[in-house]
Amino acid sequence: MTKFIIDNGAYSAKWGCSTDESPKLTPNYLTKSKNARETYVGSELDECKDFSGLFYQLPFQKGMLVNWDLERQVWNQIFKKSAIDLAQTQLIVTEPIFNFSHTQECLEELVFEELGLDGLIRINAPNLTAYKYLKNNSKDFCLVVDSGYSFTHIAPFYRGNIILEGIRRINMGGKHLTNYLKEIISYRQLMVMDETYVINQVKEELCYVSTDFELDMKIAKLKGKENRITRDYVLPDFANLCKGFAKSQQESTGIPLDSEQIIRLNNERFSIPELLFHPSDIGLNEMGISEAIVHSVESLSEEIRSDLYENIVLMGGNAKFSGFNQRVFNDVRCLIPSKYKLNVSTENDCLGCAWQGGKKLAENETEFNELIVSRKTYEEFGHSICKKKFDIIN
Amino acid sequence: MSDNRESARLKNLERGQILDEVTRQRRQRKALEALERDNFQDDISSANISDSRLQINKKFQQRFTIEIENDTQTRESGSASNQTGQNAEIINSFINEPPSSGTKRKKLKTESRLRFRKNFASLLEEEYLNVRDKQYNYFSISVPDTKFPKRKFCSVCGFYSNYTCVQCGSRYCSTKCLQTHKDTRCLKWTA
Repeated sequence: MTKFIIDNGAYSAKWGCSTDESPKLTPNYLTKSKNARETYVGSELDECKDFSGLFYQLPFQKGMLVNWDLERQVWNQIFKKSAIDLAQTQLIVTEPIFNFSHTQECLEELVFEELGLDGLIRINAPNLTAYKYLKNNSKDFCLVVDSGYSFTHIAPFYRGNIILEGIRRINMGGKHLTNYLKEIISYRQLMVMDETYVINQVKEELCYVSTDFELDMKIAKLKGKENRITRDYVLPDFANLCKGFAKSQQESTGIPLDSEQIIRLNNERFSIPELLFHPSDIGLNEMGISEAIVHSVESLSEEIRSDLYENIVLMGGNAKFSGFNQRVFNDVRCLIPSKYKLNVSTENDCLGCAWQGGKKLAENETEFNELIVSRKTYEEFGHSICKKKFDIIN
Repeated sequence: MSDNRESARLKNLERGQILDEVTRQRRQRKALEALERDNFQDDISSANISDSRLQINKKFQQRFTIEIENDTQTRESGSASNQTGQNAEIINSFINEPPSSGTKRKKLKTESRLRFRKNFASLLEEEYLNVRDKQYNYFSISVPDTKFPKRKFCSVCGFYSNYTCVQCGSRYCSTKCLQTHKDTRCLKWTA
């Protein structure tokens, strides 16, 4: 019997057998190139050479799985690549916290009736990370902050069980940051509204979370050498240059060399990820991550607060921004009484940690068997048994 | 000729039109919605497919619906209506495929539910009806409004701003930025 794990994120799917060392990443969407007129399913995107004007088709909308036709194509590719016998496979698949029940039913139907898998565990990604963290550090409590593509979740855990009172969702994620950067560059410099792929790379390479926003704002105002924030980014033309790159501080003069096309990033570098901490900067009047962490913990009973503050775990794609960990620490430290100890840690592999948690769960025979719904059970009881077993509310 | 070429937006600007609060909020909401989009551009490649292929696609859809109609009809009355049967055959011959067999039809039926693409709005509504009496649900976990005061940034250069555009309510930091703002953005896309 094979145990297969898919961490089904809205932007990338992390998958692999439980015997694998680390997960493989597949873009969880279809893309169409403008010039080659071709559609790429998932990782076929590697074959693409011209990323300009790439058109995205995502199965997810606002973080929820909506388009099953697209998802099926990506999954088929994943299963084909992994070369497993589906009828002999038990699957762990992740879903967002409080997924829609219609979506859950569709998933179960796809897994059991169409793909014919032998068993299913449907679980939240933060839950898997918490599982791994608690086992590795032999703790009872932790608070997972999962900042992904569509939104950011904050979820406290006690011994592998989610604490419902403390769950928070901020409707701000990596997609919004990329789109906002796109808008800003298009207004201030160069029309790049069509270039989601390229600007996403710009974001990943140049943006960082400021640990001292006021200071960075002052530095960004300076001119010449004193301004150590401004950077030039050379855009790819997909003829001679396939991937854009950032110039070093010395080389960032604002003047393009030869045939280069550059964009110049100054305060954009830190004011974009800043939206995660202050969504109100663009008029979304929600709490930022730090404030929401405190709001979540304060809503729980006094006895467990110190345990939660001591075990904050960051995961998800946005945790890859440099300075993210430090910023969360600084902000939360300012907001809570000094009697609490504070410890914020980022998973080594921000993207793969939920998958690693799944692997750990798969290795633990008893707990795994307790959670799984086999095809036989599904055929007998249908969706109700899945709801009973998987739902975080009982 | 040149007298006729004038922009309504600039004219409104000169007249000193001021946006009301409702319009400003609508503008803000639209800006936020724009951040949710996966693509800015339209899907060019599908629009460029030659007409004939588009037509075939349409026929496919028709066939699919006719098949389902057929299915329900046979079940209801026991005898398929001649006309729709003929129609299906004509369409099938048009795309050079043999009439679909029973098993294929069955497969299509089981797939139909997954195939059925409910959009996000209807899913949201359905979910709301399902869970509204539960204490914790998708809607309740959304974070409340922030307690911190709003920070204000220049809509042109992104630095701190001290002034508000009288007409549209955007922020600006200097006369230079105000001029850029008026030339490019002010009162644009408000209609």
